[in-house]
Amino acid sequence: MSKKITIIDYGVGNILSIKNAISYQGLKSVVTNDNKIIENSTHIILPGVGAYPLAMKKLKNLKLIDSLKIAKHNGTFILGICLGMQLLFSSSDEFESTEGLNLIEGNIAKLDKFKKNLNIKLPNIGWRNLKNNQKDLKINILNNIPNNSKYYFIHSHALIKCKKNVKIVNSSYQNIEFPAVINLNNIYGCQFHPEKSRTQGLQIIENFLNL
Amino acid sequence: MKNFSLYGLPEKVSFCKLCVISNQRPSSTIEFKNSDGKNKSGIAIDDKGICDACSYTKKKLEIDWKKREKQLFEFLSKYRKNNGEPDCIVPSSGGKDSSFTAHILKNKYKMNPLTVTWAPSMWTEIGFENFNNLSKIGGINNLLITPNGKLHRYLTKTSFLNLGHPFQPFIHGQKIIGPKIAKKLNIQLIIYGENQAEYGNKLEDNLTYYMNNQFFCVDDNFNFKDIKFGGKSIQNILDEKNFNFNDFGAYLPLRKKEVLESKIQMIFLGYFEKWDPQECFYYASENTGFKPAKERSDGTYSKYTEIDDKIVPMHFYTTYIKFGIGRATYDAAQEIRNNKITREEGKNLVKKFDGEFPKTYFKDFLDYIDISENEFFKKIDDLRSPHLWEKKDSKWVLKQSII
Amino acid sequence: MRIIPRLDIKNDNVIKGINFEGLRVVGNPNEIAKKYYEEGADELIYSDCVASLYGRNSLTDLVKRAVKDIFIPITVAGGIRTEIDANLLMQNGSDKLAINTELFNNEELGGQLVKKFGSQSIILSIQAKKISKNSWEAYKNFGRDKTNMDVIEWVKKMSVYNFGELLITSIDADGISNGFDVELFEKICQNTNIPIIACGGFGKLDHIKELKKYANVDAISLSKALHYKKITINEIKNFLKKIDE
Repeated sequence: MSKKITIIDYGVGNILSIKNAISYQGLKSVVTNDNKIIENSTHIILPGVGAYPLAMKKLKNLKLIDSLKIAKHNGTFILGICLGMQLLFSSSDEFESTEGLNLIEGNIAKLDKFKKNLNIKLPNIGWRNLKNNQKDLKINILNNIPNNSKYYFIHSHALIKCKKNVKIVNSSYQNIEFPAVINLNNIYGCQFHPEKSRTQGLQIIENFLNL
Repeated sequence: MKNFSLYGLPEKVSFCKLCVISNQRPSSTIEFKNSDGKNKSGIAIDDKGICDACSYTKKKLEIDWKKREKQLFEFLSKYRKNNGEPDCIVPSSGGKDSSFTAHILKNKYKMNPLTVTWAPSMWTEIGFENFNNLSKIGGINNLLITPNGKLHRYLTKTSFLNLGHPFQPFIHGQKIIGPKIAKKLNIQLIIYGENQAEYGNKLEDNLTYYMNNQFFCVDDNFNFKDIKFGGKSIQNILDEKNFNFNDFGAYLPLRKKEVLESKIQMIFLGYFEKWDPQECFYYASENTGFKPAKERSDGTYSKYTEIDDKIVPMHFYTTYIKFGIGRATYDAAQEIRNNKITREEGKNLVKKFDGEFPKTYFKDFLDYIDISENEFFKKIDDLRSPHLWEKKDSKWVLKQSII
Repeated sequence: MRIIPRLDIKNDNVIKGINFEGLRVVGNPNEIAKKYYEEGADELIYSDCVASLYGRNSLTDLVKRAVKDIFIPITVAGGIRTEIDANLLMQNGSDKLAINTELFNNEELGGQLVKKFGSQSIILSIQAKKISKNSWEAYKNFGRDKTNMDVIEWVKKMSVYNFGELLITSIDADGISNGFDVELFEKICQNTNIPIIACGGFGKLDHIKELKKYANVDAISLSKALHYKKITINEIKNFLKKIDE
C-alpha cells in the first residue's frame, strides 16, 4: 500500500522544514488541515511550536481533534514533534491548565516542576543525547542510529506523568530526566526536533515513515 | 532670477546615471585665491550621462596594477634614504586613507615616511585616538603642526560668514603644510593617497601621478598679503583685526621657486595602488589600530569616512545647502563606484540621510566661531541658491533632487 | 555550549565588517551555510545587515533555499518590523527570529511575536557599545545609531516580554578577533535568567576559556574566524570537550 503522509497544518510549527526532511528521503507529503485527508493518512506528523493553550484552540477551531482521534483508531501512525508531542497527552499546566488531545493518558508540566525547589534556566535549548534503555524498552523509530547521537531540544515543558505502558526514552537537562521519545502502539512523540537534528533526526523521520 | 545659480554652477541639475553625484559637485578650487566662492565649475557629466569620476572608475578596470606597483618600486628607489632620515612625507589626519598610505609605504615599499598633520579645527575623540594609534600601533613617525588656534577660529568664522565654507582654512593648511615641512627637513617627496580626480576633478589629472602644484604654492612674485581667507585678503584682515603678519606664518605657501629649488615632488599613491576607501578602512583597522566612529556621522550612513574634525559635518551641511549635495551623496557615490552598494541603494541612502542637520557638533561649531544660532540660520538661508531651493509649506525643499 | 556561525548578508553575498562597518564580500551564502552545517555547526544565524538601512527584507528566499538541505535550527535577524515580516520568515523555514531595531520604535512588537510564535522562537538581539568601565549602550540599525539606552536597563525592561534567548553582540569586539568583551557578558548573566548567545570578538580558543571564567553563556556566535578559516568548528568543539573535563 502506498504511503499517504500528512503534515497537520494548524498555523503552528516549522512545517517547511518537516516537509523538506520528508522530501529529502524522496517521499511526498501533504500539508493540510482537511479532515478527510487526515483520517485517511497512513502517517501523520503533528508539528508544534509555541503555547499549548493556543495550539489546542487552533486544533479545536479547525475541528481537527476528532479527526486525529479517528486516525489513531484507524491505526494511522502519528508522530508528534515538540509541542506536537505534548498535545498528544491529556493536559498541560502551561499558562492555565489546558486539555490536550488525550490520545495517550499523561500530563505535561514545566521542567522546573520535575523536582522540588528546582531553579533551572529555561527554555532547555541545545543538543542532548538520549539515555540508554534496556533492550525491551527500545523504541523502533530509534533503530539504526548511533547510541550517543544528540538531538536539538528547545522547550520549557515536558511529559511529567503518564501510564506505565508507554515506552519512554529519556534525555536529561541540568540533572533532570524527562521523556525525549515516547511510543504507545501507533502513536509516537519526539520532544526534540528531528527535522532540525541533522542526519540522526532525518533517520528517525525515515524510520517513522517506514512503519 | 528664479533659476539663478548663485555659484556659477549649471542651472539645470543633472545626475550621473551610474552614481548619485550631480553636476553641481564643485571641482577643487585654489582656496587661497578664492575671493567670493562664486565662480565654480562643476563635475563634468558626458552626453551618455556618466560623470568623470565614474568614467575614471571604468578606466581603472583596465589598469595593470602589478605593473603600476613595479613602477612605484622603481620610482621610490630614487628617494629611499635608508639612513634613519625620513625620505617622504605623507600628509595625514590620522584617517583611514593616510594611515593606509603611510603604513604601506613603510612596510611594503620600505620607505621611511613621516606623516605630517595640520591639526583639525576641533579634534573628535575618535579622530584623536586614531591619530595616536597610527603611531602607537601602526609604528609611524608623525609631526603635528597646530597652527595659531585663535587665528584659525577667526579664519573659520570669516570663511563661514563670507563664503559659507567653514572648512576652507583647514583645507588650505592641509594642502600647503606638506611642502613647507618637506623644504625644512630636506625631504624631496610628498605622497598623497588619492587624487581628487578620483572624485571628479579633471579626468586628465588621473593620467599622471604627479600632482599639480598650483594648489600648493604661489608664483614667485605673488604678494602674500593678497592671499585670501574667507574671501578676505591677509591685508584686509591685518587692517581690520588685531593680528599681525607673523600670525599667518603657518598659512603661507611655498613659492614656486622654493619648490623647484628644493626639488620637491608631489605624487599620489592612488596611481599605483588601486584606490578603494573602504579597503583602506579595513587595512587601517587591521594594521594601524584604526577604529570607526561609534555611530554614523550626521548626514550620512557611514562610520569610517572623515571622522577626525568636528567641523566636518558642518562642512557637508554647507555643501548640501550650496550645491544640493550632502554627505550621504558623497559617501554613496564613492561606494557605488567601488562596488559596495548599488545605485538604487545609494539613492535610498541619500533620501534617508542627505542634508540631515549636523546636530551633534552644532553647539561646538557655534562656540568655535562665536556666532549665535540666529546668525547661523540667517547665513544658511543666504547660501541657498535659487536654482536649487524653494519654499514649500514654509519648509525649504530641493527643487531638483535625485529621488 | 552551542557554536553558532553568523552570516552577515547583503544582497546575494555573505559580508564581514569590522565594528559593524564595511561590506567586504566573503562569499556565497548557500555554500558557506552548507559548509558550516557539514562541519558541525549547532545552529546558524542569518543576519540581514542592511535591512533597516534600506527599509527592506531580503532573507526569505535565502532561508527557504537553506532549509532544503540544512537540518539544523536557523535564526534570522535584521529588519523584522511587523508580524507580517515575521510570519513570512517563519513560513519559509526560519526557526527563530532575532529582533533589535524595531523594538526601540515599538516595544510591544516583542510581546506580540512571542504570543504568536512562542517564546522559544523569538530572540532579543542587542548590539552593545562600551561607553564606560561598567556600562554599555544599546545600538540599532546594525550598529549605526545610538539609542541612549543602557544595555542592562534594556535587558531588564524587555524581560517582561518573555523572549526565549538573548543574542548579545559587542560592537567594539566584532570583527577584531581580539577576544570577547567578557565584562559585558558577565554583567548580562547577572541580570537575566534566560539563555545567552555571546557574539563578537572570537579569535582563538583561549578566548572561550576566558569568557567561561566570567560568564555562563549558553552559546557563542562567530563569523570572522570561520569565514577566514582561522579556526574550524571541530577544533572549537574538541576544545570545549577538553576544558569541561
